[in-house]
This record gives sequence, C-alpha cells and structure tokens, in this order.
Amino acid sequence: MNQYVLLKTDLNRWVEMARKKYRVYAPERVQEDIFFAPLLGPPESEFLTGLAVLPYLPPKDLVFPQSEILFSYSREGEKIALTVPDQETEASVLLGIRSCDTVGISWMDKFFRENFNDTYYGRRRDNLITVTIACNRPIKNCFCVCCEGGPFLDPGKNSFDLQLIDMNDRYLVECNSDQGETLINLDPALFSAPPPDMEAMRNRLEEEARSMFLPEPTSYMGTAIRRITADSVPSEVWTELGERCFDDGGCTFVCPCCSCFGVGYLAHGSGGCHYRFWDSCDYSGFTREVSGHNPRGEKGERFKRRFFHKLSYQYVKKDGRIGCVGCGRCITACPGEVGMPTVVETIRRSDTGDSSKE
Amino acid sequence: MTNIYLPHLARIITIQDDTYDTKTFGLELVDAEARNTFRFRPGQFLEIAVLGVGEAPFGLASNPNHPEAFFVTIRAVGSVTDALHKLSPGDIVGVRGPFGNGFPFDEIKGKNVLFVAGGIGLPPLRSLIEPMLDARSEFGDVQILYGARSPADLVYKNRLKEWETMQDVRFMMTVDVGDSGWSGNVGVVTTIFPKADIIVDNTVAFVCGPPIMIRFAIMELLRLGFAPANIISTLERYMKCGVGKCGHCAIGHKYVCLDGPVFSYREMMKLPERVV
Amino acid sequence: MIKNTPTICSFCSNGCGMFVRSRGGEAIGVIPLTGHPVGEGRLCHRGWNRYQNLRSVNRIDRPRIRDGSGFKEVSWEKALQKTADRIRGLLDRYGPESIGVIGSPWLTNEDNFRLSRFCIHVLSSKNLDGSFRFAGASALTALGSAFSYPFGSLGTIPRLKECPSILVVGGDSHRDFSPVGSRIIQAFLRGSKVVLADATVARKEHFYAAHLPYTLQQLPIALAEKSDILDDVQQCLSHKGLGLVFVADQVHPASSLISLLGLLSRLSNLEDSFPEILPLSRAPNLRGAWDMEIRPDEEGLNLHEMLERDDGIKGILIFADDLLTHLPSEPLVERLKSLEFVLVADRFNTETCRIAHCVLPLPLLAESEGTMTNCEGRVQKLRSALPPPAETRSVQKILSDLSQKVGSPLPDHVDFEVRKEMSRCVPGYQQVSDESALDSLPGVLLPGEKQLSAGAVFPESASSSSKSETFTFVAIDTLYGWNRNQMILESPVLAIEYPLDPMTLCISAADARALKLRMGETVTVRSKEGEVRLPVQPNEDVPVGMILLASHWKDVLDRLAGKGSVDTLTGSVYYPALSVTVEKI
Repeated sequence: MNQYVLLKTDLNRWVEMARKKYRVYAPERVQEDIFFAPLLGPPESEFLTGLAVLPYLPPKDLVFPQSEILFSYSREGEKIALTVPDQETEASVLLGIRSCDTVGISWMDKFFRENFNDTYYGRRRDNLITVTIACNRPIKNCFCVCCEGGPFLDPGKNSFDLQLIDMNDRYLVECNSDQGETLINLDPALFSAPPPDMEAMRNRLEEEARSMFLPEPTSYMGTAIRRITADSVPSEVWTELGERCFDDGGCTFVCPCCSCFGVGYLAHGSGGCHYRFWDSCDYSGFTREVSGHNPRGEKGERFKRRFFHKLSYQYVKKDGRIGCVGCGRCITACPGEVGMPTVVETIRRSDTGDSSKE
Repeated sequence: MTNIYLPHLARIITIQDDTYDTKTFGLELVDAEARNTFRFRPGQFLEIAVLGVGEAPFGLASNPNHPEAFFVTIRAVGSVTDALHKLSPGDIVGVRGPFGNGFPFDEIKGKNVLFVAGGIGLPPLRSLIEPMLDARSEFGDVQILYGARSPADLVYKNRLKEWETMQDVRFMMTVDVGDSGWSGNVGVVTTIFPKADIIVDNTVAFVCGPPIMIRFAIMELLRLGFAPANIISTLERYMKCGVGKCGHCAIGHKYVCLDGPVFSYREMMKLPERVV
Repeated sequence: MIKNTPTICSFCSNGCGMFVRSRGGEAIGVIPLTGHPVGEGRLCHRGWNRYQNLRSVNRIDRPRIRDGSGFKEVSWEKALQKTADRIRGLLDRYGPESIGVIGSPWLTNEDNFRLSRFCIHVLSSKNLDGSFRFAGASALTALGSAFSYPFGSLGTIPRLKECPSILVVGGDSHRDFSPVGSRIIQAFLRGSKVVLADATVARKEHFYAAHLPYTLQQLPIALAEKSDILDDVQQCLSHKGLGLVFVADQVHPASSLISLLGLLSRLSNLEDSFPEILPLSRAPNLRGAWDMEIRPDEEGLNLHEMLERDDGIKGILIFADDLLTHLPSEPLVERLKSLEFVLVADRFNTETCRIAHCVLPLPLLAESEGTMTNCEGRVQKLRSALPPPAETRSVQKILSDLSQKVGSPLPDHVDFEVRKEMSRCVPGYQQVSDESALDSLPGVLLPGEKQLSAGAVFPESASSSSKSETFTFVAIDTLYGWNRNQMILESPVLAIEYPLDPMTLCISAADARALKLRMGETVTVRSKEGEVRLPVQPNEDVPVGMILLASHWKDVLDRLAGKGSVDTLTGSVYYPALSVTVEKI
C-alpha cells in the first residue's frame, strides 16, 4: 500500500485529468436528494470532505443496476437472433464513495463472481475504479463501526483502489491497488510523499471518527448474530417485527449487500427481451410456487429469513462477512421503523433464556 | 466468457403425449458446436425458455449417455408450461444449463439401489435409471417402485412395460385409484412396500415425487431401517436464474439450484426451514 | 445517461413523491423523493416497482375500430370521425340523454375538467360519472354531507403521527397504504393509542391497542350502545386530536360514515376542530375526479342508473378506466356489453377494450403532465418522465378534435390555462392557478372546511340477525386483487404480489374443524335470495362465524345477494353483509 498527499486545491485538476480518460461519477444534488452522476465539470467539493455523504441508492446501482436487459431476441423468418445489449463499457471512476459502500461492493464482487461468474456484473465492475472518501464524521443513521464497514477502510483487510482521508487542507491518499496507481499516475506531480507525522494524524482521525457515533443506532451485533445462528429468538419476536414490515422491499433495494433479482419477459410482435430487476425476499411472491404453495407465506417468516441471511454464522462463513455494512439506509427506507439496528436491539432485549454475557 | 443468462437455442424434435396434461419434448441444440459438447449428469436440470413468455426449470429425463438428443417431461401447470404445450416440432426454445448437482452415480457403484417414484417424479429419476441399466453389472439389486394417481397419470407407459419384463430389475407399480381396466395394485406407493421385499442393507434409496408422497415414503424407509444419509431426494423451490444468483431458491445457506436439487435426507434435516 | 424526473406515483391516493429514472426514453428504475411530505423518502411495493409497468408491451398501439368480431387498426382521423359520427347519430336519434361519459380517478384534474366540459357543453348531456360510483362515491358523498362542500383537506398524513389516538377502519388502511401505516406505527411508538375496527380479521397487530370486530355499518351503533366496548377505547376515541383513517373505496353505504362522524363528534364534544380524516383510495385521483364534478347533477344519470335503467343510455364514452372490472354485478356487465356504441380511450389493452367499438391510445400518467389531488386534498403536479409513444394522443387533443367534428368546438386550452379556469369555477380550487406553489414540493393543500355541519344525523341502526347456525357472509373488495388495475398486471413482481383471489370461501380454521371441512371441500351456502356451491379455504385469520369471498366474483354475489342494497344517498348499489347457512355436501 502506498501513501501520498494531495492538496485539496489540486483536487479539481486531478479530476479534470481523470475526466479525459474516464467517465467520472461523483455525488450530485437534485433537490434534497443525492445521486452519483457523471461529472460534466468540476465536482461538488462539499460532498468530498470527511463529513459522511450518502446517496439514497448505494453505488451497487452502477454495477448491478435497478433493471437491465439480459438479451433481446428477434425473429427473421426461420432464424432467431439473440443480442446481448452493448452496455457502456467506458472505463469509469467512482469518486466520493464511502467506506461502507466500498465494503458493500467487495461483498458484491465475491457474490457475483463465485460459483457461476456473472459477466453482466463483471463487465461493469472491471471497468470501475473506486476513490473512497473516509468519513471523519458520521451522520445520523450511520453504524458502520458495528459492522466492520468503516468509518475508515483498513488497507490490510479491505480491498479498495484509493482512499482519501480528509486532513483539512489536504487529503492523505492511500493507494491499495494497481488500478489506484494508474489514477495517481495521471498526474504524479500532484501527489507528494507524506510527512512522518501523517500516520499518527491518520490514526487519531480514525479514533475520533469512531468515537462520534450516536448511541442509537450503534449496537452490539454479536448477540444478534449468535441468537440468529442458534435460532433461539422466540417466534413471537419475529411475528411482531413482521407486523411492522410492509413488504415494500425498500430495505432490500437500498442495501449495499442485497443482490436478489427477478427476471421479466417482454414479447412484442416478432421480438422482445428478457430483463432482470431488483427483487426482494420480503415479497410474499418471492417463493410462491406455480401451484400456489408458498414455503414462506408468513410475513414474520420472511422477515426472519432475511436476517438469517444477513447475520447467521452459516452465511458469514460462506460470504466472508456479515451482510451488513452499517450504512443506515434501511433506517431511511423502512416505513415500519424496523431497520437493522431496531432488529438487532429487539433481538438483544428478547428473553431467550440465553445466559451468556452480552 | 460464458454468459450464464444467455440461452442456447434448441429445436423441438418430437413431442409425445404422456398423459392428459403431460408431454415429453425431445430437444436438440441448434448450434452444432453446442450440440456436440453438451453433456449432463443424472438429476441435473435445464432452464427452458419460451422467448418473451417465461423460463422455468425442468429436470432432464433422458439418458446422459446419449446427450445429443435429450428430452424433458413437462406437465402444464402455469403460463410457461402452458406456452410450451402449445408449441410444435420445429419450434425453437431457449435452453440454459445443465445446472444443479445431480445424483451420485460412481459413488454408489456396488450398492443396491431402490427407486421410489411418484407421478411426475419419475422423469428425473429416469435420467439415473437408464445409465444404471447400461452399466447394470456395476450395481447390486435394482428395484423400482412407482405410483401415480390413476392409470391415466402413469408416465412412460411403454418403458414401464419393458421394466416389468426385465430379468435384472425388480419392478412394481400402483395407482391411488384404479379404473375399470386396471387389475394391478391400488393404493399410494407406500402401500406396496410390505410386498416389495425391500433390501435395506447396503442400499441407497432415491425418492422423487409430490412433497406429500416424499414425506410419507421417507418415513416408511426410515422405519424399515434406512439411514438418513442413504435416502436421497430432490427439493423443489421456485427458481429463476438456476445459477445461484437471484436468491429465490435459497433455503438456509444453501441454494437449491447450486447445492441441490439433490439432497440426502440427512442434509435436508439440517436445513433451517422444514422442507419435507 | 440516466435522467431522474421528480414526479408523483400514480398507483394510489397517497401520491408519494418519486424520481422516475429513465435512459433513452425507457424507464429503468425509481427512487423515493426525500423530503416529500407524504412519502418522506419511502415507497411501498407498488411504488418501488412502478418502472416495470412503464415498459409494458401491452399498450394500445394505435386507434382501432370494431370490424366484425375483431378489430382493425385505423388512422386517428378515421377513428375520431367514426366516433363523432356515432355520437352524432345517437344525439340525433335519441337525444343527449342517451350518451354517458365516464371520467376517471386515473386521469389528471385537467383532463377530468375537460371531460366534464365536453359532456355538458358539447354533448349537452348530464350523464357524467366515474367507476367510483360503486367504490368511493359513498365516502365522498358522506364527507360532503357531514361537512359543507367543498371540504378540501380534512387531514394530512404527516399530522397523523402526532394524533394521540387514531381509529383505523379496515386493516387495509394501514397494510396497503404504507405512508399511512408508517405514521400509525410512529404514533404508536410515541405512545399514541391506535384502535382497529375490522370485522373480517381474527387478530390485530401488536401496535393496535384494541380490536373492534365491527363493520363500518355496525360500528357507530356498537360505539353508541357502549355495551361491547371497553371504557378506555371509548375514552381514546373521544380524545381531541383523533385521527380517522379508512379506505373510501370500501365504505358502504354513505349513511354509515355519516353516522360514525356524527357519533365521534358527539363523543368528543368538539365544537371547532375535528379529527384528521384520511379517505384513502386505490386510485390516485379519486378526490380530484370528484372535485372536478365527474358526477351527475339531479337531472343526469349516475353510472348505476345509466346501465341499470331500461331507458338508460345507448352509448358510452369511457376514459382511462377498465370499467368492466369495476362493475359490481353481472347484469350491469351485460348491459355495458350490449350498448350501441362504446368508446374506450385508455393506455393498456384491458378487458373493457375488448367490448369497445372504438379504442384510442392515451399516454400513461408517467408520460403526462397535469395535477392530481391525493387523499389529503393535496394537489400535486405530475412531471412527464418519459416521452409518450408517437401514436398516442392526449385527452386534450382528443376532445378538441372530437368537439370540432361533433359540431361544438371547445377551446383547446393547455394545462395551465385549464388551471386558471379551475381556480375560477371549481369550488375550493382557487389556489391551483398559483404555478409556483404547485411547483414546490408540498404542492397545494386545499383549504379545509372542518366544521361539522348541522344535519349530520344518526340514522337507524342496521338490523343484523344472528342465529347461531348462521354465518355472516362478507364480500371483500380486495382493492388490487384480480385485474382491478392493469398497472399491477404489467409488473412481473406486482402481478404475483397480488395473486388472483380464487373463487373459494375463506372460513375460520375453527369453524372448518367444527363442520369437519377440509381444504378445498365444497359446501352449499344459502341465503334468503339463493344458494351457491363453492370450495372452502380454512384460514387462521378469519374470525369465527364469518365467510369471506373476494367481491369480484359477481356471479356468486348475484345469486346470494340478488340485486344487493341501494345506497340512496349515492344512488348506487352495494352488497352488505348477509346471513347465510353453510352446509357440507
């Protein structure tokens, strides 16, 4: 891992160089919402500081879009032609992604590549370089400290390209991959060697950031993980949580670690397409079979199963980490106020006769 | 690089009416190279698509030793299968696969094998029975017990007749409800267990059929002394992608399309949701 | 490049703000609009999946006219001329009373306004109504009678969470309208008391303090008689700052809601303020269509009368409504099918299109501009997120061309000009000409008239016999079940989230055991009017003594309930709860 210093006054110049070779996505405001959008000029610097900034949808949308066509077909006489859409394979840079989302993308990387390699994910992901901005100050719903999702990425444990750490008038740039080096080399003159006290300052900033999380939603995940793995949470707890769930799917769509999708089919005249779109295991039809039989017909069962997938040890072994990065989007999206922190707290408080210390 | 969501085109070569609601489709891949390299293991499935209408998983029912012309047996129960039933020989469908873990084959050589099939559960088992008969000497006793709702619901009627007459296969069948022409056994498939002289020692049992039938058959087999690890069945779940990505078929931390659809009863008992 | 258009969801009367995301003119996704007063940055499962129906291939492509037993596609000119000729023919032969015009809660305020002008000034007909005559009109009639008209905004969704007590009539109110359900839960978390009144469910969710197992008709009587209700529930309902939530589509008859309002006002001894009242609807613009006076005056025929009377209409012009699926009985359906001329202007190929003589393609709401009025009385502007297909034409253009051909040309005003007219002549809508207010996020909240007017009486209690062997049969309007909304069917997710309600009777598991009935077993159900044979489906969620069936099984209702009951205040028909006996076969 290499370290550099980039003055904030040089940021725009570097971005300008990047825009010549890459499509650069950065946070942009539309009314009260923030999106990642392709830059047409210099970036909004207010979104590139140590204060956490989260777009409503996680950047998983850039590599696993809300909907995309898998292939189109057309009949020409006897022949049928199948065409895979020519998606934008332009090399891209994602500037201003936060640690939680970067960890989420690593989770997606593992999931979409293992067993059968998902090339639709791959061809977008392989052309994307991430420039993470570390969070010196979390915002209202953040709880990444509970989930090993931040607030700073650990170059030893996390895979990432570049991480920028806000140090007032400059960034400490941590480069953790060859792709990252390529970006540095766009204009190496802008990047100087860090002075010796930089390391200490970096660690201090990280400690300070970790101390700033609000008591709520911060919560100790270990108990929930244990109880879910052992299936020792009383079913009444799941029923009650399920009653607060609206089957809207919002939590699934905004979660950086949720990847379920459905497939739709359109036929028009002599052609058509098959497309995939974000789906949610919260939906009652998610497991309903053609016969009408539904192994997960009860809302509480579906709710419980989603959290089993996110937190149980069986999945942690399989996926390498829990399925939550602590970004807090589920709190924003859930009408029933049963996002991850509420569920974890409810499980912790539920009486299971578990005598182990918390 | 392989595109796991892009189907190969396959032509329907033959369509055979098995029962009033079930047809067997003989298929052949259109692309010559795909046709020549296509291989599958017993118990695997294909995702078959009627372009623009839908796609669904179907167990391969033909003999893996003859992969150039494969067939699936499909009952019309929903929009995709209804659409398939309306097709004719010469029509084109999309095919992805083969997917799934498949049945054990080499691992059970030298053992006795018991097949318990119910109704539409026979087709996937047939993909195991046929290659086993091809390599008959490598297996011990082979017994097939088959039950259907009524004589009209029996599939592969001609092949059943052949199995009945084979010397080295013990075959029995039954129907839940007989008709005027039926003179054979009447009752659900577990009712013929007592007169079937089932060998338990060194036997692996394969059970396929409607969920209720699987449950009762397994209960009976356990009562007879079969170990859970030696009872092998298939799980069915709503599936979409077939490659372990879309999440629909996940049970616990397993995906039916990747870690299954073939599971031993011992594995099924470990799953966090009741599956049998 | 992804385009994010901020607009309003067009599924239901919540009217949540959302971005419709599109690329190259095709919808690819949605994102909730943070800071929207109703949605507050959240959506329900309909909203989140809206983009799927925006790519539907089941759109009406081009105008078509009946040709023998099928249709043939024709040019707009030909279709409009044909329509004008048929209209002229009916007017000449039978007079303006022979034509009915159906506006829609799936059209904008401006389009409904234009339609009303067309009906009255071009056709000189007073037969103007909407499918909400059978689902929604009763509630709105009741509100108009209890408060003076226009009653504007009677409550807002954000304020609901601050109500110290809330009466929820019908579990669908919270379950299928998530912004409302969300505020109910938020109120509960703050310590508010929430009470559920629903006769058709056996259990209440944990956040309800009490469950009143009464229908809307029974509720005022039960509350007045105090016999079954716990004292503190009474107290809770007498609280100043009560919230009242119900699904307008499920209110039958109008007098039941009037009674409830009258009783609540007596209980709370309120002189000035009144509860936060939210009349929800499955349709996005029920309030707006009603406010634009898509309803007949005393001389005109309402939809029920148009089809029920032998001297009713001979021709009908239906705009943006799958009318067949909203008629409550088979005889009305047959009558619609037998009319001399049926015009359907719609977006998708619905069932109603199949019986039309002329079909015209409209743009989707996502391809339109204009305003809609949600359940709070909030007028919000739609922004067009996608380009309409080339062969579609707006209602504005259709009516303008038709009016010319029929012989009484209408001025061809664009939306903001129509709004100026609305502000002058639609009661309560003075502020809609303020374009900048409309452009802002909260839209324009119509001024509310919350003074309960004198004359809100407490009609006689409905008699309900309950012999022990009898069951109560209730036909349930499942809002989005069956093909009540083509947009649902066009989305692969929503089509399976709202599966087709089967023609089975839902019965409580306890009753099934007592009668020794298994799942799928057939029973004979007998009422005063007739009998039917249907399979049963035991269900833990059904209360003992009750039999439930989805109300779109019109055949069954016709046989068991005959002509139903008449809601005299609304001039429509409905099917109240019936006493029936159930016998195993």
